[in-house]
Amino acid sequence: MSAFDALRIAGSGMTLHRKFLDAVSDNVANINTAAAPDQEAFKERFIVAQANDYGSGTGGVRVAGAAFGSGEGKLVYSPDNPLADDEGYVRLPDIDLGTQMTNMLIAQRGYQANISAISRATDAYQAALSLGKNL
Amino acid sequence: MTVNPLALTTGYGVGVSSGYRNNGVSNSIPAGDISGMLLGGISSTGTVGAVGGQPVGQVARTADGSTFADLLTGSIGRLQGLQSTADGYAKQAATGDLQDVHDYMIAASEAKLATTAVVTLKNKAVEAFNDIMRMPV
Repeated sequence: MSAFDALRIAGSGMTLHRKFLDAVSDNVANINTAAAPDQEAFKERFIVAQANDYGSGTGGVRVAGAAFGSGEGKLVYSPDNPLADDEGYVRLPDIDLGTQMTNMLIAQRGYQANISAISRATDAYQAALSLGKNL
Repeated sequence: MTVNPLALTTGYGVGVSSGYRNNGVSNSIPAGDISGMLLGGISSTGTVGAVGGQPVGQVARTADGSTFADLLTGSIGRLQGLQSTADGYAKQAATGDLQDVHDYMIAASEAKLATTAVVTLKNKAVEAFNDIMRMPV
């Protein structure tokens, strides 16, 4: 516990949303990553958020870990691909770009919301300090 | 709890509102101790009259026995810690090891706010000391 808890709590939220954004970027970057049909496709990444209990802990949120989607993917007919099997199929990740863009918006807005919390907290602390200056 | 206006003018408002209380125990201090002069004028019991009741050359202490000088020294030490945290992030930013930009920004603004707070308290203490020194005897 310190005088600047609001800053640290919002900072933990920013870290979480930064990692969320990283995971979404990774998913989008690998959306066309093909694999041979006998191998696993790229697995969609998820960030697991866990709350730090404010009453007994420090407050804020932490990244409990990363979770992975299915490696099954989808078989796509692409005979020109060097990874294609005899029948001309490759395995592509089953990631929906629309879902990823929505997640990206959520991550971005969450990051911005935490920035707002920090700037309001800073304003409030500065207002409290101006009390001491004008006495 | 009544806030003593005299306590606030000496920049001790933070201590008053955060639960430090004068337990009435006065300990003798060496003559010429600035904090003694400051704390001699500070009482969180809410009455200015209690200040007049204190013997000359003795200083009021908080419940845990610390003086204003102890509090100021402690807060400057913590300020040093905040600034070295921000410095560490600055070094990481320069070497490319910085993971989160916002960690650096938050540490920097924490250090800035804490510096402002400590400097404000210090200014009030010096101001109070000067007021005492200017007092016509």
